[in-house]
Amino acid sequence: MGAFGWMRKNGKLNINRSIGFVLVLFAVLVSFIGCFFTPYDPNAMNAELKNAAPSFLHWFGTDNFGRDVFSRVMKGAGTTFLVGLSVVAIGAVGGCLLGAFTGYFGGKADLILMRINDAVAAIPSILLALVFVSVFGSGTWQLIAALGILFIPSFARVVRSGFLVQKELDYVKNARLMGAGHLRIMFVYILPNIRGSLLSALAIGFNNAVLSEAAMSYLSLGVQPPDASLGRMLSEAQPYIFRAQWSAVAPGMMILISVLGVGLLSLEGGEKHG
Amino acid sequence: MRYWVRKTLALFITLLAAALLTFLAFEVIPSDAAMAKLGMDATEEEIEALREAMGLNRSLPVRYGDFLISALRGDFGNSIQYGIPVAELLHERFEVTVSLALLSFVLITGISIPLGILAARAKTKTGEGAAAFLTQLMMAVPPFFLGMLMTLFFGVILRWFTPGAYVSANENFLGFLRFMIFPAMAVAIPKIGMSVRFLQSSLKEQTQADYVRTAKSKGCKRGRVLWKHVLRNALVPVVTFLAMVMAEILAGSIVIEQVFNLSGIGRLLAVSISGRDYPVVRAIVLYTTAIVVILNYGADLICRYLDPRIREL
Amino acid sequence: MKKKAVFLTLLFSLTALCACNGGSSGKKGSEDDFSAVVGITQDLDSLDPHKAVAAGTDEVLFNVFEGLVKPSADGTLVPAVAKDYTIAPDGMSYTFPLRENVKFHNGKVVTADDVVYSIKRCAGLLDDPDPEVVVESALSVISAVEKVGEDTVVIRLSEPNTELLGFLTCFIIPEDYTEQESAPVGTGPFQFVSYTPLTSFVVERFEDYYGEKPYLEKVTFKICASNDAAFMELLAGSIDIFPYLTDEQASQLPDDYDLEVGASNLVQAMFLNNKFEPFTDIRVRQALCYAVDKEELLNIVSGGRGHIIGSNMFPNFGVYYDETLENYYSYQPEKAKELLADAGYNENNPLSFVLKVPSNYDFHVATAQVLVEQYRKLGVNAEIQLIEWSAWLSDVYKGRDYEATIVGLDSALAPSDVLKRYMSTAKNNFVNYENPQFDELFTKALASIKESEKVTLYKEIQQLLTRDAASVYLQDGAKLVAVNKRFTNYLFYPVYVQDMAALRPAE
Repeated sequence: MGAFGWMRKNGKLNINRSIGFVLVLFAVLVSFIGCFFTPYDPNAMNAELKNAAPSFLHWFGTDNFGRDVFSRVMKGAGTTFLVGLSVVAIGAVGGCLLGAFTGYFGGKADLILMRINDAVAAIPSILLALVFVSVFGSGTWQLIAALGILFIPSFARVVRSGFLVQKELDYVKNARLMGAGHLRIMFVYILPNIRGSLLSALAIGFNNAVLSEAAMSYLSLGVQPPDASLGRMLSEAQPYIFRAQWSAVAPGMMILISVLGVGLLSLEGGEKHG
Repeated sequence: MRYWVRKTLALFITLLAAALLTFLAFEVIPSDAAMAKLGMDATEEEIEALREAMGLNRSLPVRYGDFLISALRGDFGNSIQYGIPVAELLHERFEVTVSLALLSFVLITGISIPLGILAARAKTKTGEGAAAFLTQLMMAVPPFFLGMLMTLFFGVILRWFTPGAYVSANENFLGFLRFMIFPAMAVAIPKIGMSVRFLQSSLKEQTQADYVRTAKSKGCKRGRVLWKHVLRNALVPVVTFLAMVMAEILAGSIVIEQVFNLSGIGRLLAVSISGRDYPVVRAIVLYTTAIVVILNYGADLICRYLDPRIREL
Repeated sequence: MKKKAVFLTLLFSLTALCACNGGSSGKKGSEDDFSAVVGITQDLDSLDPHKAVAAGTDEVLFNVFEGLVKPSADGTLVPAVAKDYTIAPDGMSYTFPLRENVKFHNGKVVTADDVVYSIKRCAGLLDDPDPEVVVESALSVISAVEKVGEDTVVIRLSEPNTELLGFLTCFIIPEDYTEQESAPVGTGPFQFVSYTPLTSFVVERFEDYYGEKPYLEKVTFKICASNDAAFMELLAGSIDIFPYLTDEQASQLPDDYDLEVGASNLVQAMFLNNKFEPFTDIRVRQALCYAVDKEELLNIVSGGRGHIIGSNMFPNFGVYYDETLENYYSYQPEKAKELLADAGYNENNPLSFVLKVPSNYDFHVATAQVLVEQYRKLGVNAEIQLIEWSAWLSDVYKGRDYEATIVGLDSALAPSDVLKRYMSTAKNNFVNYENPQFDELFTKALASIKESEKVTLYKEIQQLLTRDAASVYLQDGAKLVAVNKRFTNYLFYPVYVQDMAALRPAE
């Protein structure tokens, strides 16, 4: 067991990955069931049961409208995961293309693209959100589009810096000597070699997307009330944190579980490589 | 020398583009400075008169050109809402935002780099796993939830600081530190998780790289020299990431400022956008752009130093 | 190993830093007995009182400025800079003898010229008007402002109006002073000390004030980032008075604060665009009124504390207010369904509309959620769309491009002010209400010089709005104020003000 002992692979069950798998499975299951069935109507209000503590009837208590928090978490998780995954998908694909081309080829295209990238990154997200609302209206799909675009620069940057290092390595030179095309080198040779940082970026991206969803709903873009999403539930519960912690803790935990799960799963991606 | 000329040129192009995008954004969104300023009771004629007085009726290229000329002279105009020069308005907000950024940066680097190395060098699978779990957990906590919990716990229950009672660093440095450490922690904790994660996975990538394998197969097991190389190379993506994080914090965090009742750049930006206070928004955008670009150059330079194979940036 | 040590040292020193400083905290917001910290959640939009348009700004500036007359807590108008006033029997002129020796905060004595200048500035009658000054539209009936002798001002009107007094609360400022926007000067009980954008507005007692002097020597209006942040500070003891408690916060108030309950003096309603296709049909509008269970609404959004209203007026208008309308549209879901069916809406063809709500008003957003849910039970699809305030102003209020919206309307101390927007010619008639009968009654009421006749006419007008179901009138919300037990005599006004001069120490 030297300094690099941790590098060694073993066939044993990986605890973190298992935990991650269980957490993600749980989150997916809850949100999947939530699409078809919830114990209560997630939007039904009850003036007599405002901010009721968790009980046998209401597992996670009720919120300030007397709505069942458990049902809302089930329903909201689905919406939030849809947003998170789509945003990461758009951001990652766009970012990979942009980062790969700019990092690999360098030169003028790199310069110009990175400048645009910087400029877009510098525009305040509230302003961009307002532009999106006035052009496309507000709603879940518009939110996905807006956040997806906002997420491209951060992915592009990670991919680009990976490519800058990788393209100088021998295996790339060898591949080129052997006549491999640029596209093939970029996406078949290099891309798998930066999957470590890419996977981290994906996990972090998912994390950010889920949290941005909350911020954006607040800025009138995205999921509109009374529909539930985890982010919206969390920000709506903020004023009640002293008295009705459950209405913040339930969606907060759901976010934690799913983000943690995805993070833990992505941790071990590197091992598959021979 | 050529390098710097090129970089400065690129900075200017980015600034121009960002300013233009800001102008275009305000063209698209509803309402304008005159309407926002005069509120509900104003008549159409009054709004029109103010628009005329503010010069909002001129064409976009004219306004953009006008703005560029004044900006070149270092004049960003007066805030529409506050009636004072933008530079003066921003100056006060900088103290909060910049000190928050510096403090968080110290926390992030001071904790994550040693922690990342420790995690990567963990001798047992369990140790490594535990470290990974911990960093994932840190990343998974939503920041404003964390901020609320910290205010509740440290501010209201333990009374280690008075929520909202920001102390200026010039007045009382210790008092300032005592207050700012909490928002800085709220900013830093998720970022620490992320940067540990970056460092760890990047270290892993490096140790799987050919040169390490070769060295290892040659029997070089625990070589300090080797480790140094690995670390240097592995830091490259981490530095890029940290530059991004710094830019993000320096641009002002609306969420953290709201929770801790700080009046930094983030809050000013939110207020200025909703009040259509163009001069302030433009100045903040230019500032943010410059920060992003300069930090990225800084990161590139450091990366080049760390890994000389990155020749051309 | 070395790095580890550095890291640990850092960690320890941080912990130590936090821990050893812990003991000294917990001080109160204000340093001594004679000062108070008031939490506000909206930044001032201008320090020049004639340029400020936000209700939140007027509320604060009330302590620094005064008009010829000023509102009092019982809803009457009392002389301030003026000593007295007389309204001509024909309602065509107002005469104000000025109070002697009233001083501005800069030491200058108020002259008739200052008064003439100030009124003209508010009414847009200056030769060289500042485009940023928002002209009070009610003052447009003024034809001339004249100085008679050295200490009397006469205001002449172009048409009879007996309700102008409520608008002559417009603040008096010195004529030749140019720094109003950075260092405001008025005649009020407090004078300006400092203002830091997004941070605080500080005033101190004005020792040369002509009237009863305030107990407080210093008042700091602390601008908080949000309602939650303000409440957090209150819990930590750094705010003495917080006038925007939510119902939920009120129930968590710490022991050293009293809860004062008053009215917010706003007409909160779901305003309907009367020109939008289904809402052109009175049956649809009435159905929407019958479908709202206002009791349940109040229970959910404000713990049952608000006051249900039935027309475009709130109870603090006293004799003018028609309380019989509160139950005109009681909750009758069956009737609502019938009316909708008559208008051609049923399960197969449900009524659908978009409800635009300004996102910065949590209270309106919460109200909207309850309404949407109540409508859903009747098969009406109302869809909420949150909209930023500036966009609301331009699209909904000015552009009238909306179907329904929820907002609260405030008013000056004149019944005409709260109702005039329903005139078919009114520029701010954003509900697009048109009824010749209304126009006729309103013109008559405005010119009426007999109080009893005025009362009858205004009640008729309210009834008209209710019968026409011009909008779905909901409530005048409760205003919940936390006041540190160190103080008493926190006064509620029928208008939007925070009177800090009235505060007294608790025994």
